[in-house]
Amino acid sequence: MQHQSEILSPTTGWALMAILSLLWILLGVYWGRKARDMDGFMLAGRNVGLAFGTATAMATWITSNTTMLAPQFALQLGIWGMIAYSTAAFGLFLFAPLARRIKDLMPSGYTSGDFIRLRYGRTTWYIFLVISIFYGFTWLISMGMAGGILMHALAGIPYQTGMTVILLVCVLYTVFGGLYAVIGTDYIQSLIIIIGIVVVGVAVLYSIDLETVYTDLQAEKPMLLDMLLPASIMAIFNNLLFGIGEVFHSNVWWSRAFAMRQGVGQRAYTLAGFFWLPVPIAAGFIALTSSSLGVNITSPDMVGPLMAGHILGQAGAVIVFVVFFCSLASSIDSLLAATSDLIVEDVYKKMVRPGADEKRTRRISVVVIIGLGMLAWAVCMPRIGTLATVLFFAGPMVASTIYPIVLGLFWRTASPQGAQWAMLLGTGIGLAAYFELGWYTASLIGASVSIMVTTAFAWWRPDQFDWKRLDESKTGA
Amino acid sequence: MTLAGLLNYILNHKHMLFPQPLFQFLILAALLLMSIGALSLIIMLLRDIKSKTLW
Repeated sequence: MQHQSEILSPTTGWALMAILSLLWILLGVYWGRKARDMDGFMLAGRNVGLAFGTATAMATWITSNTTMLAPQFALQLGIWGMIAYSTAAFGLFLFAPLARRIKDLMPSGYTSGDFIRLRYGRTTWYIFLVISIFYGFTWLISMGMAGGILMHALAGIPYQTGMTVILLVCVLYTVFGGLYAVIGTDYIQSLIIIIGIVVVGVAVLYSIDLETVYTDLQAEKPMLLDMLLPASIMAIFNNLLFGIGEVFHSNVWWSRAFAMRQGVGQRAYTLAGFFWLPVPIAAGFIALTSSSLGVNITSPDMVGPLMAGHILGQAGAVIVFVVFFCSLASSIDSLLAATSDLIVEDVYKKMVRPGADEKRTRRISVVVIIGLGMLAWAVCMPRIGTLATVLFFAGPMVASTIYPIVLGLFWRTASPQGAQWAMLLGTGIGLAAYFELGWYTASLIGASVSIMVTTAFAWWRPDQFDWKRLDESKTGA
Repeated sequence: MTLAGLLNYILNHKHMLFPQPLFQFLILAALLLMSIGALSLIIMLLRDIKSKTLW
């Protein structure tokens, strides 16, 4: 079937995919030589500097959803849609002080699960692990699916083949290089993504002036310029809270906080937030120019590639393909590494075999990364659902973890019971809102319930937590 | 303007559009900020290499 947005010949698509795959695997093997112990493999030696720290936080947050859904948001929800998507940057901004606090309190920590277990005890930890692993896996599936869909849509590469290649490449370089490979490749990928989007954005500006775009929108789709579009305004709060929830709870971000050198985390996350903030707007505005440029859009999530191909021809198509491939790889590798860390550190080492030595743990890490890749591959094969539905379903779950984490890091009085009920009720009521009211209310409601419950318990049944218990190197736990 | 006044203004301008200069500013600022981001990442990398604080 000829897809509307097929802008590259399959031969060019295959060639680009082969070059990029080879490059990432070779770099993974090269950087992987540094990963001599588990601290190296899981946390890149805990000594990552500002450049790599900033780039990895940013690249991981730029997923294919950013580059595909932001234009879709712009096309359906207007200017507020782009702004709504860009509010996810607040997840990075607000995590910055947390990254510092995490590194101070837990200098020898490995995962977000470690924090929940030490701070709130085992019951809360089990609930958290279910949410976190479910979310990590959901995100991984949505990225795998996006990989297949994009490779097919852009270059006519069959869905199953494209999805298999992108998952396989990421599994290989993550297995060889651990977090060293993930962070190193993230740096290159983040530069490629930013430069690619800027080039396409500037090319659009050269093709048509913004005044014409505005006038056309005003005449044809004034709703997209509306300052008070209720659905868009709800989407802002939803995206903001979903973004914060995703970053705060996910081991993807915690492992980077542990991996960064002392004093780097806060600056790196703040800078990453500033550099990420404009990406959905820059990617989204391209969609708003479609009607002025006479491009007929039938599949809204493909508007970015279509526009780039329309304006820049083959060069634009190549840029878009490379940008998408990088944004997929930078997220998939991080998810594989962070989710496997969570499974190995929290499930295997804490529940299954507490006395496992480094060699065995490393072997298990490799098995888990490969297993996660294969499981994601198996789920992605039938091509179920759409990107948005798969991703937003996890929204209320992650939003319900925001306040137990934030208050748990800063308030001694935040209690285990409060955290448990906040996660359970926030998830339950948030999911009910997802089905009854709409996806754009779910995170907002999940987070609101969560903050009320956590705060209420902290007041009525306060805990008196001793922060020293979080440093396992001193407590010897 | 009081809160009630602001609310009244909003309700009376339900279909108020984003002003054109704001629309243009938003897009140009986004592209500029991204360019600064790319440049900053390169500068940070060079500084980290020079001071041997890359990893």
